[in-house]
Amino acid sequence: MRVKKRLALGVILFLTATVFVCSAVAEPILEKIERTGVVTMAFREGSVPFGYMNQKGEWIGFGLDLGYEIHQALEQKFGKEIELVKKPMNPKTRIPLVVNGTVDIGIGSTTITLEREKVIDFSLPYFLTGTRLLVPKDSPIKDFSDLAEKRVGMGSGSTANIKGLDRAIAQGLIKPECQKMLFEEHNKGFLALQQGKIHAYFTDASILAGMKAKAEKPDDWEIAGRYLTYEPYGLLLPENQGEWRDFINAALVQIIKSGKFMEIYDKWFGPDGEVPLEMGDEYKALLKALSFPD
Amino acid sequence: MGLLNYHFDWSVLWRAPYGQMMIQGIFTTVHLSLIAWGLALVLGILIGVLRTQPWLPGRIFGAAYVQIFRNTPFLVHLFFWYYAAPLILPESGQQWLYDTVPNYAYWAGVAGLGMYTASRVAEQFRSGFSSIPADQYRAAYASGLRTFQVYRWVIIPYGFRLILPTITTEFLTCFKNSALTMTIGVMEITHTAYYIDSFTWHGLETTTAASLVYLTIAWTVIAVMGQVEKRVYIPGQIRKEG
Repeated sequence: MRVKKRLALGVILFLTATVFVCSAVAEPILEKIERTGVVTMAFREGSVPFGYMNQKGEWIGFGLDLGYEIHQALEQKFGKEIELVKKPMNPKTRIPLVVNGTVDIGIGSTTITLEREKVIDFSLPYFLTGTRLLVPKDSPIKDFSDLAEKRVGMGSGSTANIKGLDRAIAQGLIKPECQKMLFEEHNKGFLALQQGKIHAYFTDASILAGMKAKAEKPDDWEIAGRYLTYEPYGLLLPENQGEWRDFINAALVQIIKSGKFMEIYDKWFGPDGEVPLEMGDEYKALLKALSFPD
Repeated sequence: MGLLNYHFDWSVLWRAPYGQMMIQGIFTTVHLSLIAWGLALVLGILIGVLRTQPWLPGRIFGAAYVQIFRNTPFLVHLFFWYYAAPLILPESGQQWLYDTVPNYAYWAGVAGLGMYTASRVAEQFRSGFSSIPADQYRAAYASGLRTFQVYRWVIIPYGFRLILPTITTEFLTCFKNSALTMTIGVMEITHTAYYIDSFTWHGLETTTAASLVYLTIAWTVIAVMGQVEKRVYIPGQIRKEG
């Protein structure tokens, strides 16, 4: 009896402690960065070219370069050196990491969705792509309607993708419907595609371009189909951190206006970049719209 | 922030379309584990017998099986059966396989889980068989039985009952290990819980539900095996009488 009581007391103490710790982290992030001199950013580790390990084991990518620019803007703002702590994130951990305050910002390849807006905040959209299909070069699949009765792979954490395909099936675009196969990581899905387990892999064109570029023989693969959905990416920010979000948005606009953004884009997605991906007209228009006057 | 602002919404467990997914996940966990367990039991007895019988090549094969399958991580087995095993077929054969077995991942999971668990079950049987006094073997042979008959009528029925309690543990482990098949895309209950979480942000509810499913399965198995033990126990062995 006594043991049980003690156990119950322990559980209650533990829970109160957790709640207390959770409520104690509501300090404004900008103030925290100034006080501690540390900013924590999360990046992707396996998403070419947004954030990945190259063959030398260096952590590089479009997202990291963007993070360095924001880091610079922070140092400028506070007029002192700020330490940048980098943490890895993946589609499953990215939201929790931001929600529980482990990181101040997540920079990956995350589509802004209204569902996600309920638990976190997003920056302005800084990247625009759409969902397409990766297929073997001589595949009969040219567009989404050709997917009828085929096996299509996608990431199990890519909810925006999955919903998009479900909608296409519901609207009768793919008839009879295709079979969805879910993979934890895009690279596992690509392996399955190479082995013929699936007929096509479905996700954002930017990610498909990365998969194709990193394939053994990139020419064996083709990105097919029109955009099924638009996928605007945003930086992941915690909720109720208005000043932090304002700062990030202002930094983004400055990076775009100064031409630095195009420089980084070309480094990764330009014709000679790691993952050649032509910037669509919609994306160009988006960047123009983001060039807010001072 | 965090726990304070978390609003529990248990309705994700039954509202459409998630309720249907949860039920399907439970069924997948149950039948995948049961089929794998059947495979493990048959293979396990076979390997266990091979390891204790007098024929040397059989003993070598049994030992090799156990050493390979028991001493490598289960996760590697799953990747092997899903990604590597089909490669022994020619390309047209692979295509045929994927077209005729559309949920290949499920069967790769069954094979992986079954053959891995078999190596553990085999060891339980071996220890069971070896704990039977040598006199019992001699007596069986002396009564004119051949090796097959000795095992069929004397050793297996006896050894099986000796190791029933540890076999129950293996059975439970088999159920719990089935969660790992999510890594190759099988939509069992743990995968389903994560999947619903990624749409609804209510992972605490779904994983709690998944845990309860495992607990319920475990208690059912324990209750059933308890009954089996009671029915088949050998008077004077393991179970104390009176």
